[in-house]
Amino acid sequence: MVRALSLMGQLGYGYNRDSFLRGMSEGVDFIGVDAGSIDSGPYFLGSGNMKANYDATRSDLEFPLVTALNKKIPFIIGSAGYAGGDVHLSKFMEIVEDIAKDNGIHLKVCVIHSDLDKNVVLKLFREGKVKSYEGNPPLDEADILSSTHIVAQMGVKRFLEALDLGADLIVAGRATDASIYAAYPLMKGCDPSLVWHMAKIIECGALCAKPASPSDALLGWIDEDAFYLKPPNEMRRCTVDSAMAHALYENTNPFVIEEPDGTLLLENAKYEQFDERTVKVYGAEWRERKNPTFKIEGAKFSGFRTIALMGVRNPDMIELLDDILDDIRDEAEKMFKTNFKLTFRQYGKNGVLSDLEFDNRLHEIGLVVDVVADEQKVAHKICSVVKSRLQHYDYKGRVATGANVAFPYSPAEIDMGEVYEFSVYHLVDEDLNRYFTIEEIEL
Amino acid sequence: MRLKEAVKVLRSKNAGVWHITIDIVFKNSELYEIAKTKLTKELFCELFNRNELEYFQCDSINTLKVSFLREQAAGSLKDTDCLGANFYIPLMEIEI
Repeated sequence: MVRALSLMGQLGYGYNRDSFLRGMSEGVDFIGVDAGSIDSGPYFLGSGNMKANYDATRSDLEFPLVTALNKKIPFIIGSAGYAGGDVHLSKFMEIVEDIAKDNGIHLKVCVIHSDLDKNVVLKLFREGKVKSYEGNPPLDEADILSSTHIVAQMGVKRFLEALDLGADLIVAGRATDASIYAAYPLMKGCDPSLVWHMAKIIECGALCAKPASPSDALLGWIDEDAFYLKPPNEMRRCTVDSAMAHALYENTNPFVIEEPDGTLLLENAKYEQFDERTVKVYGAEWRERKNPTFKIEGAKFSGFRTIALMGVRNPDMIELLDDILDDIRDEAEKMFKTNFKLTFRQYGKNGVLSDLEFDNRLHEIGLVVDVVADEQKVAHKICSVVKSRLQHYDYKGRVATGANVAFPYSPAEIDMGEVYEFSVYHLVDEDLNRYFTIEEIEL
Repeated sequence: MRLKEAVKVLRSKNAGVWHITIDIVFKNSELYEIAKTKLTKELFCELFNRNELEYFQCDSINTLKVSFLREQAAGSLKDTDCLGANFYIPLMEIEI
């Protein structure tokens, strides 16, 4: 039997120390935690910044890591520093080094890199090995060249090697969430079908429990015939529904989960309530892929953003607002010959659902003027001009000549800094494991 | 009965950077079977203004699941919902 503890769904969200200790007291063979995602948008990969800062990451990592070392069990982290690029890994390792120094502990760390050189991606592209991902637009060379960082999601292979090397701590770059939890039980010879299915569920911590939480722990253990899921926190339960529903989460297909190393088929998976807070699962099927495939992710710099927020309350102006905004956009495009993108967001009208909005009730609009340009001062200037045009626009039937809009803030313009967009999200038909190098560090 | 009253879960979320996936988990098999006849693939195509989408009936778990491509990648300049978490809204009030 192999017992895994998932510390939480995402490192940096604030872990539950009591749950961690209760989980540990049941006997645990390794601890895993996912530290990143692509979910929060392109900024983190593009800029090289971590999402959870030094303090948030350190306070979640310190005690559990020291505890794992004392118990001599491996601690496995995937997608370190959120986006998993080399720049993220080195920021993350500063935290690990500080924890080791301040606690007087020694450990062997295996850092697994996932950063891809642009020339490598370019070569793969020219060889026809980069494919679109489930129908998204195909890649072109400009997308690759304009990216600030490109990473690949690694599978389980390098995790297995790092465990073989005797790592106390694995700090992996961008990795599939399931690979974090699959490595140890695979090394111990557990049934791959059970391993991958369990790994896929426990990576989100107590998000698969009721009540759900991404910042609480989950225990998973595998025996000969099944795996079991239980939250150490006694206020939560794993139920058949909660575990099953989680398999749907963030996958386009409810029955098929693709990993670099193979495919997990869930059609015949069985979920049973084992005891009040534990679910027993079996029956999924893992099909190993002969030639692994990898997802690559890249983000590019798109400029600097300045926004202004204002409320529109006058019903006559609301009635004409689309035309007013078109007119002001035309004016701005004539006035500024530089490269910029102007977006108006009308909260209260269609700010969330955009073209899919179906509800036409309206009495107030929260208007966001959003300008992205090559320099911050240019974005600021354009935003400022557009803002003042809105303030004084002489629309048909206007009776109030003070100001057309309500500004909650002074100054109205807010500089937002650098903006990034995804440039690469594609599949590579080539074994990328050779680029996932392992760096062995003794602290 | 409106859809929001027939479900345990009605949610949307990004599945990666380029896809939205919607999960509709019904309270029981009776409601699921009734809803299935109404919530067809064609209806989703119409509601979400898509020519093509993936549509799954998961009978064993009383769940409908729908996935489709985004207009643009999450977090792009014109994107309004970086997490893709609001695409279930047009479904809430549908009479089943």
